[in-house]
Amino acid sequence: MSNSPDFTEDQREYLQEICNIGMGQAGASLSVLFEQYVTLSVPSIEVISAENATESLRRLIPAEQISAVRQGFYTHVTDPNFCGESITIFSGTSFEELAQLIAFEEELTAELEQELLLEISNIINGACLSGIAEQLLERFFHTPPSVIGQNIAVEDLLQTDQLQWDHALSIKIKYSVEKQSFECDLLLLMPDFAVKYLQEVLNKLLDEL
Amino acid sequence: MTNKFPYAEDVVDCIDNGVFVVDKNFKVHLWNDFMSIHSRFSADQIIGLKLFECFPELPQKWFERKVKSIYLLKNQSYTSWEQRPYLFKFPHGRSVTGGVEHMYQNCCFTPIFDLDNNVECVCVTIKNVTDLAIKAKQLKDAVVQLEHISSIDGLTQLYNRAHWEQRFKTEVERVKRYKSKVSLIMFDMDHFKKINDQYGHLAGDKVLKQTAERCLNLFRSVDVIGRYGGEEFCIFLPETDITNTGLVAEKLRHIIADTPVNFKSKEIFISASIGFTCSSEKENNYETLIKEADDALYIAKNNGRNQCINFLDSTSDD
Amino acid sequence: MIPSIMICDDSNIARKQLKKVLPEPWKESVKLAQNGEEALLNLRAEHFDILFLDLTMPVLDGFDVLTTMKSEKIQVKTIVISADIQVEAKNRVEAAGALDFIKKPVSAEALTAVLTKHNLI
Repeated sequence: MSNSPDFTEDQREYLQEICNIGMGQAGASLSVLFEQYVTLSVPSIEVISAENATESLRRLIPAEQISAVRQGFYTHVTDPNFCGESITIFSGTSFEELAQLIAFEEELTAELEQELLLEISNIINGACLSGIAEQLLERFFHTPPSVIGQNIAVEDLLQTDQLQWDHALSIKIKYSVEKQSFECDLLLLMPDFAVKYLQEVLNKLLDEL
Repeated sequence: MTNKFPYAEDVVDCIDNGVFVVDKNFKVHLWNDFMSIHSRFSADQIIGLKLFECFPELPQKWFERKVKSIYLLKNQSYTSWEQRPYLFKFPHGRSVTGGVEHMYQNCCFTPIFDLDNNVECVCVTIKNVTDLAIKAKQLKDAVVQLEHISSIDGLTQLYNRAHWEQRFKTEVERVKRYKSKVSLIMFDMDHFKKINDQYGHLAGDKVLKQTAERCLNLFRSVDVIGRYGGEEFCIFLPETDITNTGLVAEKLRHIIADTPVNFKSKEIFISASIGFTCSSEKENNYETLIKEADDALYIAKNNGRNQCINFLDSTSDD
Repeated sequence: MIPSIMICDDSNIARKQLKKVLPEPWKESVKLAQNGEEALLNLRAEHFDILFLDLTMPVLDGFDVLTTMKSEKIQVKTIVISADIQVEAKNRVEAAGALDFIKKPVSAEALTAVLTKHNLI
């Protein structure tokens, strides 16, 4: 299937609004957990193609070296369903700052640094997706998070020669906690075969408006 | 409400993972057979008690924080043996074949909701992944061993230190036997740590790779090039006297310093400190020759870098 | 008496969602603005009884609108409608002169409660 999933203007706007709201809720939960004000960027939504995946990623994440964690999400396993992967990207925040963020008191070894990345990713991702899921009247299940790599290049995020989709919906959200100088990007990716169902749900919601 | 299966609790006891439930005060409400078998506590003994009273060795603060985030965010949380080998120090099942000290565990923390969709309690599952962990460790060890027996340095594709030293040792013995000669050049990249700090490790890697390529293009096929250390390289040149070695060393200095390395549209300027020496009738012990070249390199570093120092010259200045 | 209402939000969907839960008779006289700048232009031109204001908008955001209104002494009862529902956001907004704060998506109940609280209904 090489047709790019086309969103109508209304669908796009509705999706944008859903992401805004979902993000707002996530920010509220996170600010209570971190005990700090959390700043959220407006989510940027676009469709990327497998052909240009690397260029798109470089544009979305302009950092030279990143650490990244992936986590799968899905509604039901059978059709019709949503599924996708979220990638949490850290560039530049030190581990000491990350540890402070969640009052992590153990001394940092290489393994515990990874655990920090995984824990914070799980928290941010879970909060954001459950915010979005609530607007879509769905419930997301997750796979455990795993580290894609530390100090890797953006190109290494995807196995570009083994992608099983032609197009994917990408939603990028930037989180930052100023006082902690913490910043990370959350990239939600949904392959084309899952996007169809999303569009159906959006249409239903638009009809009720 | 569907009729609940009357043996649900027995099923929980059949599960080959640890399953237990705590509330927000860490009082235990469920404790399955797996947990009973592996710990000193049966369900009857522990239900109603606080988890940390029975297991004081548990990382309490970490645990509390994890559970707190679940109550707040209503999502699942995980741990993996790769970062945290175990939550509970349980014995593994390999009491005879051994190989490990304890059970390796993957854990999952799941919220249980009440009718108002608030978190009532948290269910923790403990999965025994000891076999997986052991296999993964064996694989890791095998890779390390493999790197050791291979003769090539992965990054630069030059000979690794162990192999190069062996070759040099053999060459020096040949020189002794046939009363021949061999020269040795050793060089170290200047300000390499700064390059890594400023441009990142990927840039540092590219610098090393390019330097290696430039060396391969410069030297003859009989010359043997190796990566001696992190940013240190070594070349031995059979049948070459000190004068010609000096000329080559100077050429080497130029091909490194004259052209920067391009990294993501940035130009990284590089240079090297170079030391060289030659075998003689008196001195043909391979370790001593390495030390001589290294000493000369050290002088080059201290004299301002980006230069070549001949060990034999440096010692004759008395 | 039907109050004159302005809804300021860059999202067409958000404007529609809010309009949907307004009291029925109010729906007739609602003016829409797409960003802070448009809202201010309208506010300077005519009087409004109630302004529903989003926070995150391009060009001029909700906070800037509130500050400008204060400095230009434009007095309109402003209710902020926002996805950002952290306590600090609420406090900042009320300090800047807003009457109250409702989280998105706005339910009819939440709106009625706020309007009643401030005797707007």
